[in-house]
Amino acid sequence: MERQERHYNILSLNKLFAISSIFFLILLIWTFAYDYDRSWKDYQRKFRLMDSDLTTELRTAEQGRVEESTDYKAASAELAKAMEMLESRAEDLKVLEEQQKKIESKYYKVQQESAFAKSLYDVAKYEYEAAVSHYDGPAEKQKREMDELGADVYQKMMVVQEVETELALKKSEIAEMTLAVDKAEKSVNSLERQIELYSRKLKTIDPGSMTIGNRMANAVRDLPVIDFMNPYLKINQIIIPDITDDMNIVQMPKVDRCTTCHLGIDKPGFEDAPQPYSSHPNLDLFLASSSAHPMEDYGCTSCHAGRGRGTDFVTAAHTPSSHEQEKEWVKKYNWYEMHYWETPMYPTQSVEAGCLKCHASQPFIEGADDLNVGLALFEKASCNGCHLVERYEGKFPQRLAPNLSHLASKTTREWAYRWIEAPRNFRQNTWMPHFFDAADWDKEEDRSRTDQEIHAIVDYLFDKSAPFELSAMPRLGNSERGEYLFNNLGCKGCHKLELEPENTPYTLASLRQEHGPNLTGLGSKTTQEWLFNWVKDPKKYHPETRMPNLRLSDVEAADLSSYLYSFSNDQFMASSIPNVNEEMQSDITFEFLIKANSHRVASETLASMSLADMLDYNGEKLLQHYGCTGCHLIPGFEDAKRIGVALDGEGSKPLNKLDFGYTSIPHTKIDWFINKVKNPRVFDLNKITGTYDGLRMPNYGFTDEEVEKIVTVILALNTNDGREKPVSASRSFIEEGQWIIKDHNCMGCHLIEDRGGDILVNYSAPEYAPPNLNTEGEKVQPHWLLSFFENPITIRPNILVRMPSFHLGEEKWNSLIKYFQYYDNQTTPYEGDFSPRENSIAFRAGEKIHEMGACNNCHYYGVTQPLQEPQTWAPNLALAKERLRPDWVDAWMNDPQSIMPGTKMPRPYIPSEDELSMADASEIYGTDLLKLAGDEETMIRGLTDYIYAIPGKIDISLEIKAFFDENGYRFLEGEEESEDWDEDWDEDWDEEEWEE
Amino acid sequence: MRYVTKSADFLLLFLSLSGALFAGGIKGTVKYEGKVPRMKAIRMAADPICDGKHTQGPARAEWLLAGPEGVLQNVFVYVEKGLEGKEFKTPETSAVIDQRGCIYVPHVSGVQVGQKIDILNSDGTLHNVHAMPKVKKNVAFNEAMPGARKKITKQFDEKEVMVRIKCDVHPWMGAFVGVLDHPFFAVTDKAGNFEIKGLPAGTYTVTAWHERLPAKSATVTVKGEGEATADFVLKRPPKKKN
Repeated sequence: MERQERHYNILSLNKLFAISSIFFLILLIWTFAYDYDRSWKDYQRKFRLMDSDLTTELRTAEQGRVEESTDYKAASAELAKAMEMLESRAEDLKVLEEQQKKIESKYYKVQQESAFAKSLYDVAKYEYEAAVSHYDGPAEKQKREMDELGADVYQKMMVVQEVETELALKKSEIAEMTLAVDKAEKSVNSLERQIELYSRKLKTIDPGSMTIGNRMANAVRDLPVIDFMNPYLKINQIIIPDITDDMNIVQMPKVDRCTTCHLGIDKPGFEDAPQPYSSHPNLDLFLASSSAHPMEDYGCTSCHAGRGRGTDFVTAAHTPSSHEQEKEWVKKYNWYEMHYWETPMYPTQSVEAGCLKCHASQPFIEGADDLNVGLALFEKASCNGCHLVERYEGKFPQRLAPNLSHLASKTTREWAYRWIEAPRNFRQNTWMPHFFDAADWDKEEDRSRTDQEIHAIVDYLFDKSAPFELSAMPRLGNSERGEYLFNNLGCKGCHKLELEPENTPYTLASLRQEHGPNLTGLGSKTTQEWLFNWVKDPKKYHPETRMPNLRLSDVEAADLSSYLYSFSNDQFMASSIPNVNEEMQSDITFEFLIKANSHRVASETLASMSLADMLDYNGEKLLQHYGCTGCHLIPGFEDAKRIGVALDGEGSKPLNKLDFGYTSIPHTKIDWFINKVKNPRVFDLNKITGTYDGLRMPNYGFTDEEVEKIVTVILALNTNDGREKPVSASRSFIEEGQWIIKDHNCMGCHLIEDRGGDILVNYSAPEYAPPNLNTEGEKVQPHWLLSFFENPITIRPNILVRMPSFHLGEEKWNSLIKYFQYYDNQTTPYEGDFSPRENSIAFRAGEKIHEMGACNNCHYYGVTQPLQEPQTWAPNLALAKERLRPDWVDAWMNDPQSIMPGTKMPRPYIPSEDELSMADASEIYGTDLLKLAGDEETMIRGLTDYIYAIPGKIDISLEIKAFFDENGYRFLEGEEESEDWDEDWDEDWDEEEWEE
Repeated sequence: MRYVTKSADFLLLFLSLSGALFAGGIKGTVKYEGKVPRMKAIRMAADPICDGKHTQGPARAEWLLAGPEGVLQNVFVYVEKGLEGKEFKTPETSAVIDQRGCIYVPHVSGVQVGQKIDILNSDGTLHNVHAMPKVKKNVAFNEAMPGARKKITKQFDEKEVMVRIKCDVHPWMGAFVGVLDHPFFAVTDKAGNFEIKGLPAGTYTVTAWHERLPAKSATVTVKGEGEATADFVLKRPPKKKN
């Protein structure tokens, strides 16, 4: 080979180039193919087939339905008939149409002529105007010409109008002939409208239904490179400018591409389709444009969280709902957790976590059942005692547990010791957590140290307990009578006495029924004297308590306390208590001293302390250390701060900020939260920490189900941006009231907003239980309601259950009154007095209706007793004018059942027009009613007028009480035995008579 | 369309004819086993009008009316299962419940879904008629019937055994109405007898309902012609523990 002046061989280089160019070409094609082939395209292709099948199916069904419908049959028969008629006159129609054509051409011609004439006239007009203004000379000639042409224009215009009329006539002649057909066609088309819509849709998605041109376009539009123009397969996205994703440096508008794969999500009809195609399970509430959360305004990740921009399974930050699902996903999608996306999608069981972001100001979120239970558990466990949560600030109390300021007057050191050691030994479902007998005990030395810690705490609490004067009981009390009071006075609105079987799942209702503590075992805990004093006036012992005052007489309080005192828990009191160990106490003291002092100072201080000093010192430090002050009011800690982390934002903590310690718990956020709530100190496993440096959160003994719901709440407390709608004034009034209602458990007794009234299960019929508060805002006069709240009087004489005195203060009462008003859209704060128009026809008619209705059978008139037996008794009518709003009374008289379902108040008898036109009507109904025949509204208003004029004493509480003190509530007794609805007759089940 | 209704009429006619031709019925007696409680006198003193209606001695409670050998009155016997999918015409005649002597007469009765119920007031005092159905489609009502109002007409639109009716003014007053979607029911008479007629051949579950005693059911086969028999014995419920 000829030697070349190069250091390389061109031939082999050519080979190298050839090979590498082939290689790069393959690489290019591969890259191209890889980029082109996206998983979402497969989903879209598949969905297109599904959609086209469904649409075809729907069209066939619709076609069948339409063709079967009588309307359609009638319309098409009509059409056929009309066509036939028209056919028979086809000749005439043809003639007419030809005539019309002729007239049209004539019309065109004359119109042209008229237009030409007009332009000639315009020229002449201009010439005349110009002659007059510019040349200043005589212009008769021009004027004459203009006038002539003007006349011509006028004439031609007349001709045009004539032809126009002729044409219109002809047209209407034809229209008349085709009228029937047109009409029938229109109605057939309107019935076929839906079918037409389906067909149109099919033309876009089903190649079989397309025109040839479209079919060709369809075949190529999704090919590589040219798919930038108008592809069928494309990424769908919803952009929501005013909800943002936090990108640390900037807030980016939310872009949700979820609908790229979730193609059926907003379309009804795909309910049973597999994921990702199925319809949203609740389209009435979400996605539909008429729903409260339209898709175009909220997108998907505003509620579900996750990464909206992701277009494949993993990068969308889907979260598995269980470890099994996780394994399945890993296999199927190569799933892994997107660590650095702070708000991964909520797993299915916690999906309601998404509601809280926007609805945080509401105490109850309608429709979010699991979240509501979770929040209720969170509140009940007083999580916000240690952890700040913004939502509760100023709305819900921090310290829900008993006030320990006067502990020595309530219980003994021994009881307190055992209680602190293991509260659940006293009552399995207590909300007081286990600080000491927790699951993470492993060392005996820790065990004996905690014994001493408890001693120190008890010692501090009893030493600092301020004296509390207990008034003496007038008598011992009758426990049986007390049981009767407990069952009937309303205690059961908030308290239970029997323990549910362990691990009974909580519901909102059961949580309301134990708004206050379960009262079992009180005999072991406290004295009857203390109970007597407590039920007489709870606020005296604990000014912040939510327990209201039932206005018990001394005798009632004695009976009730005697009953409550009769329950004891001897097993609990039998456990042994170790002695105080001075050495261990001094160790504990030293541990705390050394934290803030040098070794020398700590040793010196310790040496100067007696055992009593150490106990006090240790108790104080330990109460603070364990955060007891978060939930209890403790002397010396009135202003104590919360010891836990603030929980707002906790749900979006990045995974790497969660310390899993040396546990083998799977490293996912959900697993961390679950384990933290279930066993709070688990992450200290195998860690070497100082005695008082480790995790402190106590163990609440939550079940797995409860843990799941609380985790939902924690996930809900995240930084995922919500749409903070400005809350309207009326909305904020309503929410304020709802918080008070929640705080004081009004729903334990009353049905409000169709929820609650849980106490009803203890009564044979709603009429003996606290009333439901439907329409309360429309019903009562605000100033009366305030006076009632502040000083409740007896309204329903036949019920034993009592509205307690809550002493909420004017401000809260006003909030509550506003709540009722705004909830019922009753927003006039001050209303004029209603003065009945006595002596009017309506008034006298009302009087007659009242007489016929014999209202005095059941209602009190001032102090005048009703005629019938006490179980039928109903409110004092003399109170109506003070208490009720007249418009509401009208509505009530119209249909009492719709306002208070099950009420024993019947709809008053209002004679009908027919009845009033009978021959003897004036004898039966009187002349006034006759004059109003047919005018029910005025009759009812007349009745209201009459009721508002009923005189008498307004507050008859004492009279009613006196009656029942003497006669008892015999009719309420024997309820326990009652079966469903035959309680009234139940006394007939007389045991004696049944003996065999 | 007219044709359709006509043919439906024919079909109904045919069905009822064939029913009458081939149908049998169920007959039987209901007895009560156990000691018969004494029905207490009702104290009506609170309403003199009611009281005045019972000059021959006070009215007594009616919650368990057993005669010799325990024959039990006021038991509602009805076909509970076996008629699924069949439709029956709503009778045009109204059922009647009267308030007479401040007692509902009859105390127990049955109607078909949609059938009119005339509730009469023969007492001339104020009653209120408070119906407390439990199923959704049946509308609860509570109407005042002063002396002057002699009749109200109501109906129930869904099957329900039983709807309780009471008067809140006179707490002793109560009645029970069974609402069924077919006409095959009966209420036992004084002798404890009942008869369900015109039942097409087939096998049915027949249930005897009593207001205080636990209900009992029996499977009864009705052959082409002739009547099947079904007797029931009801016992008091076990005592509840306190």
